[in-house]
Amino acid sequence: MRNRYLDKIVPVVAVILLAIWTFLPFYNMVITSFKTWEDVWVTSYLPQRPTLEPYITVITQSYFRVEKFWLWMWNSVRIALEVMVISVFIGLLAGYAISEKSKFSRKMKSVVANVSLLSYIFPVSLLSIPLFILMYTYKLLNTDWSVSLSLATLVSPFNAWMAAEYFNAIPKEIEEAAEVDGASAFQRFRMILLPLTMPAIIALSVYSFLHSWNNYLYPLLMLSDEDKFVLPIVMGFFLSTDDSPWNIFMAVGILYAIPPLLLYFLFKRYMVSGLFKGAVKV
Amino acid sequence: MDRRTLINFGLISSIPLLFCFCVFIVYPIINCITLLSSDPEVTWGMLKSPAYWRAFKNLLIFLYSAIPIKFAGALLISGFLIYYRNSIMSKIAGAFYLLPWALPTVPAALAFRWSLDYDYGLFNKILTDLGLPKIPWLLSYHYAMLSIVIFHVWKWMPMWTLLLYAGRQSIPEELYEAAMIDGASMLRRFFHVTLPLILKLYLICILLSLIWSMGEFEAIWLVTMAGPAGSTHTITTLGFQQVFQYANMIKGASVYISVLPMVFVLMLFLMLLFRR
Repeated sequence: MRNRYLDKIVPVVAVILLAIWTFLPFYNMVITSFKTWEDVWVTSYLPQRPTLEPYITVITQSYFRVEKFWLWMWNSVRIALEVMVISVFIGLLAGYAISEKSKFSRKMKSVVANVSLLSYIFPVSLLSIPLFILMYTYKLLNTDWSVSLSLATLVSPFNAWMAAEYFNAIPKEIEEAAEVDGASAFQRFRMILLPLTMPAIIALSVYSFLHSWNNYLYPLLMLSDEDKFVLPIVMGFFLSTDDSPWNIFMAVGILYAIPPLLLYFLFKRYMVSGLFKGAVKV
Repeated sequence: MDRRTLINFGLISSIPLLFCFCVFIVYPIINCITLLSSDPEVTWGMLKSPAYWRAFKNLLIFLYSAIPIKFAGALLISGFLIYYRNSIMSKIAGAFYLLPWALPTVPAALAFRWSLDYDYGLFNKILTDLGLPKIPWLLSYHYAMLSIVIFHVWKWMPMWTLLLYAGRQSIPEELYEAAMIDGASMLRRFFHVTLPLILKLYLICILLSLIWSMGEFEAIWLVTMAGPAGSTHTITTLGFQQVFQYANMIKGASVYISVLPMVFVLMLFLMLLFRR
């Protein structure tokens, strides 16, 4: 028999524990970002004198470690957008190829599917040095391309899986009707399949954007010119200093975390179902 | 089969992906291996060095501790979310438990680094307020490894919880009702209803997570900075350091390439599991 009181207390305790575990580091980040410089060195559960000073310092770029904050932010956005465009393009096309919609020999389909599965499960960071050597050989280091092409290659297989799932879900009859009317495969893809997979395109775009936004290793290896840096690289360099203004660093971290958190909560529905489709129902 | 079905839009549309696969994945690896074989002395010197073996050992310790903790946690939390799915508590937990996953890695690592500080960190503040001694999180080898595992589990457990949750959600509720009528306890329901049905998903998730965790970089490089005194280096950070700080591409590449056989074997297992 289920115990009535236990049934009421256990979930409450479990949720509180889970909340502490989940929020504690994040909470520390938020309170530190509202502290003055002197208060950073007084550990407390709430800022004694809450202030917006760290954020103003970051936004006006008036501290030497964040002197190019907006340039670095723009670099992050630009590279993420490039990755998004390239990988959604590749992913949609390859997704079409492996879906039931394309007229493509079964053998070739499974080759493409296996290729994208292989590159999807490969650990991302283990390719960084081989790709670094490639970019070095072809003198592409320190350009957007070195980062965006590498990352796009690594994201597009997942996009292909997700896109294929969405293409498969479109009823066959719609396409057949167009085929009878004499539309070519490309016309059917462009005018029927693509408009019907808008949710997939949104999910793929958000996923690719976030993937690039979160990545640290590739920009760090490929970019060496300060004007090309993206924000994560700069945040990594914060750590190599002693006696650092942690309130300013945490403010930078929060400002960098806002776009993905917003995207995540706006598109949670698409993201979650997409992740499930892409990763599990293979 | 006529030519129209052989060369068609389906074939053309798969070209960009195949091109990227060949140019940005296969070719760089082959290129790397030829580079290594051009200088076998440096390659073997690196692979025989104590630094390499320490990094390899650390990687194994990291994998053996992080994966079981992560999946025990994911199983427990997804079970909680399913078991209390009609309760408000489960909905509250569902709203926030994915936060670490949605947070970008670098700010999250920054937050951990700051929270784990010996003198000013929040974790030690809580410990002293509870009357416990401070822990030298980043100052001793064992606690530094523990910090890496904690950060990794904190960051990635939510995603696997979500996948297991989705898998368990697809189990029809009637099966549980039938088992309950037969008087099966909670444990028995888990072992005889849930586990057989999600076993394959669970194995795929564990294997996938094992492969991906071998490439874990940020948790080591940012949280402990491979410290104290370089003792928590794993394969990824050691190879990266050789290239990034000492500009020695052959040494760095040899470290990375050396684990690829292991990765490929695991990937083969995973592909077989996927295909079945």
